[in-house]
Formats: sequence, structure tokens, C-alpha cells
Amino acid sequence: MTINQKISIPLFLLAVAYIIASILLPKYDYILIDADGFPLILGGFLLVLSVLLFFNKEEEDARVFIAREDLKIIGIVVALILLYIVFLEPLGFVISTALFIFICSFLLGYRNNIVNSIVSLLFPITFYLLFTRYLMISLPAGVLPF
Amino acid sequence: MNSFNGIIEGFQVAFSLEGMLFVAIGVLIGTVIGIMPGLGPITAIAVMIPITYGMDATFALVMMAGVYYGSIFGSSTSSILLNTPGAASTVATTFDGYPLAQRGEAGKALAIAAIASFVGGTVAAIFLMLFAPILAGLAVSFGPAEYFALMLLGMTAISSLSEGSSIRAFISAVLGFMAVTIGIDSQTGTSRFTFGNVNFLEGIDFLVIALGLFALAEVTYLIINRRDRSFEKISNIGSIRLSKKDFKEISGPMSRHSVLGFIIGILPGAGATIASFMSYVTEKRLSKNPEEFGKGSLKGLAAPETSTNAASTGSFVPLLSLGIPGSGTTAVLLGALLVLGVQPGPLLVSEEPSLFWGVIASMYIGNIMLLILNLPLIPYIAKVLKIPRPLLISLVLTLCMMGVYVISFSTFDLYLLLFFGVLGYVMKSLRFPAAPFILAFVLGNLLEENFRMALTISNGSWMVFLGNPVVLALLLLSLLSIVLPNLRRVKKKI
Repeated sequence: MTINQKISIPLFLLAVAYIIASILLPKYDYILIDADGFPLILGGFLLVLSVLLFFNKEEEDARVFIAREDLKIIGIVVALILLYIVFLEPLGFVISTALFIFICSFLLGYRNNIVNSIVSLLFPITFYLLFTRYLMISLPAGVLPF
Repeated sequence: MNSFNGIIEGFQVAFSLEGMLFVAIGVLIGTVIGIMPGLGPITAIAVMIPITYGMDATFALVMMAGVYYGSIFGSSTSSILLNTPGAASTVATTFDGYPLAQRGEAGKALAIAAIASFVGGTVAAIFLMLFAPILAGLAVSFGPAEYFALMLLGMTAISSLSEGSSIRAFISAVLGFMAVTIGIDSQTGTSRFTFGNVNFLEGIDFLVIALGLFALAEVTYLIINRRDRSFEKISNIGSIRLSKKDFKEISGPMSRHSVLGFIIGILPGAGATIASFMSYVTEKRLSKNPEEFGKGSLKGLAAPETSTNAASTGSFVPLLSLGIPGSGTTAVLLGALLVLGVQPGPLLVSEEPSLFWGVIASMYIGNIMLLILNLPLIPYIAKVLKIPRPLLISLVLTLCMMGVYVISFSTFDLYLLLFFGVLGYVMKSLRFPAAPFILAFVLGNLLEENFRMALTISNGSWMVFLGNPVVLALLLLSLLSIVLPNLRRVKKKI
């Protein structure tokens, strides 16, 4: 199977699911074009486009492929982001961001720990103050008292 | 002389201390982000949006506009020095800019780029001042049917004009459209495709999409190329002085392509990338010695640089006067405006003259500042290229997450951001352009609303679209924009 055919199948399924979900939307009387009107058109378009893509021969050399090593490092970064999201509110913005910057830079290969520590601390503190004091937007304080 | 008073008011805003400060911040940050290889104008604008929360709308837009053309400026610097453009619109700059830098004339190339950008941006700002109010005047009488047709044209144009496969671009647009249908339908109150999740009721915030599809996807590129050390090659950029002969050589292309770039910038879907390539090709065709092109021709550098900047300024015409962006970048700008509570459209010039004219007037100052920033200071600014990549990646990631968190103060949006980041990366590697997606996402609700409103007003009669000459013409144009490029492709095969 060519790459375009491989892409077109999930798109086709998405279109079908989207159309079914549109049909299942509640209807109202006396409304000319109800909430399902536009989604049905969109679903139809995607259906047609996915079929066109199936038979299309352009850009056949496109790949998601990346070197295993890169995949590993991207996986690590994604995991770090997930950890950051989980700990943002309990730990607070400053601490979790400082830890994120330091660990992420370190794992990506930055070895100047002194500069890394300084940036990791200065960056979140500056933004924390900018947001909470100047822009009046609150960020999670977490375990810190201020 | 209503518009005259407006212009005066605009200049007062732009020349106020605050106005100048925000232009300066905007162009500086834009230049710095734009210089980073891989980070383009959309990322620059999206990252800056959270900073504008709570700011005065006029100054916020003045700053964002500065970020926009500043990032294009910065992007051409990395095109010349490193051969790695930050944005598609400065790819043509590498053709002759990089050879010049390799010859040891990087300083000269940067100077030409700066002057050409300045001329393109300034000339286009004058045109913008003239044309935007005229277009707004024409559009005042537009009803829902006209708006629907205009937006449709914008979307079909961006899809069929984007590089590569147009089927992919259309799929990308439809997906963007589908993403915006998630949430409560504004007309009936029906919750669509939320699957019982309350977080989806208000729909997905556009910043999540902009930062995910663009910024995070671009960061992935940085991660893959984290060991790239090409920036260490930059040592001496040489003299930035231009001779009289150089000036004479670039004056022709600069005057031609400020006009061409501006016109292309106004057109829906075209934008800076197409403008830069068209100008490069046109200039090569006009040239007496086309063989110099690609080997460090001054004309070949000045033409796309002028054109890119003129086009990015030109793209403000439909954005400000119709409220309809013609490119991915202006779509993100529109999203930023909506966040600030400003709805651009034909009434903007009369209802918010200080914002309308203030932004335009600030462009003159912004271009002057960029010239100052880029001519004598460029060696220092280029030093940001030496920021260690791992640190840069962590900081950009943090900026994205912080930006998304402050919209809703819920971590749910952060998970969504990660999802769209992955989607953006997959789309990028499978060559699905992301610009149609974001444009469809930003325009989607308005398009649907106007479509339904038009049909409701006409009591369900489709003649509301077909019986109106303006609407019909616009619809035919959208149809043509789909058919023509494909026709050409089929012809090529035969």
C-alpha cells in the first residue's frame, strides 16, 4: 500500500464517524439549517477528499519516519511535558517550570549546569512576576507562599 | 475629512511614548524569534499572544504587527547567514543571500536585505493607508451572503495556492473546520461533538491550535536538529557599507517589487511566500544577465526581500478592512484580535479609528526601527543564534505551555496542546500544510454563521447566493481557484 492510501484510510474512517455523530445530533423544528447541517457538509467533503487521496500519486515520498535516537529524545520530551502538566498545579508555576527547564535542557544535552540553573530560575520568576504583578493574571502559586 | 482626522489620531497613538515602546518591543522580539532557524512568524505571534492579555487593544495590535514584520526581518537574517530560513517567505532570500555571505559579503547582503525590507514595508504601508479604507467602504454594504462567499474564497485560495498537493491542503482545511465545530453551536445551543466532556463545551481555543500545530511542531524540528552547529561558522560578517553602484542596482527591483508584493499580499491565499518567489522569478526574467542569479546577485536578493515585506503589510488590507485574513499568519493575528475583544471588519475604521490608523501609522516607525536595529546592530542580534539549542527548546516549550495555561487556567488545555503538537508534527512530516487548518479554524464559526444567516434571511432560498452578482462572482472565483491549478496539473501530465 502506498503512503497516501495509508493516510486516506484513517481519514475516511474519521469522516464516517463524524457524519454518524452529526446525524445523531438533536434536531429542532422550525430551524432552517440545524446544528448538523454544516457538519454533514464537512463530513461529506472529507469523505470525498479521502477517496481522492487514496488514488492520488503526489508526495508519495512523505514519511513520519525519524531516526530511532530522535524518536527516543522526542518521547522523553513528551514525557517531561506530561509530568509538567501533572505537577504544575500542585507544585506551583515557579518550581515546576524551573525543574522542567533544567531537566529538559539537561536531557537534551546541555551540560553547563551553572548557566542552566540560573536560566531555570530567572525565567519562571520573571514571568511569574510579570503575569501576577503587572498583567494581573494569576498563575498557580503551589507550595510557595507568594 | 473624517479619515484625515483618523490618520492624525493614528499618528498620535503611534508616536506616543507607549506606542513607540510597544513597537520597539514587538520588532525586537519578532527579530530575535525570527532569527532562530525553524521558528517562523506564526510561532512568534502565537507565543506573544498571552502577553497581550489585559493590554490595551491598540497597543497590543501595534506590538503584534511589529512581531510579525520583525520576525520576517529576522528570518531573512538567518536565511543569509545560515541558509536556513525561519519562514517559507524568506526561502527565496537564501538563493542569492547565502552565496553573498559565503563570498564574505554577509554584511553587504544583510544591509541590502534591511534596506529592501524597509522600502517594501514603508511603500506598502502608504498603499495600505490608501486602500484599506476604500475596501472597507465597499464592504460596509456586505451582508452575510457576501461574507460567506468572501471567506470561502479565502479558504479555497489558500488551499489551492499552498505548495505541494492541493488535496492535502483541502483535507487540512476541512480538518480545521471540523475542529471548530466542537463545542456549543451558537445558533441552536446544541452541544456538538463534546462527548459529554465539559471542557469541550466552549470549543477549543485557537491559541491551543496555533501553538500546537506551529510552535510545537517547529520545536520538534529544533529537537531533531539540536546538534546543528552551523551558527558557529558565523564570525565576521564584513562591511555593511553599500556603494553608490550597489544602490543604483537595487533601486529598480525595490520600486517594482514593493508594488507587486503589496498587490499579491492583498489577494486571498497568496501572501508573502508566493510574493517572494514571484518577485524572484520576475526579476530574473527582466534581468540582462540572469546567469548571475543564484550566485549572489544583488537584484536577486533585493527583489524577494522587498516583496515579502510589502506582501506582509499588504495582507493587513483584508484583515483590517474586511476582517478576513488571507494567510495563516494573519489568521493567527485575527485570533489575537478576537481575544482582545476587537472584531475587525468594514466598521473598524469608523468605530475604532485610533486602532485602525494607529496600527498602520506604527508600521512606519516599526520599519525605521527595524532598519536601525538591523543595520548597525545586526552582528549583536545574530549572537542570539548562539543560544544553546537545548536551552532554547526548553524555553520555547515553557512559553507555549504558559501561554495556553493562562487562557483557561485548566490543565486540560495543556493536554490538548500536546495532542495538537503531535498532530502538527505528523502533518508536517506527511506534508499536510498547517496554514489552511488554522485559517479554517479561525474563520469556521463566522463562515457557518453567515451561511446560516444568509439562508435564514432568504427563507431558505439559494438565490441569496446565486441571484446576487457580487456573491456569484466571488463563488465563481473560489470555484476557479480550485479548478485552475488542477487543470494545469492535468495538462502538464498530458
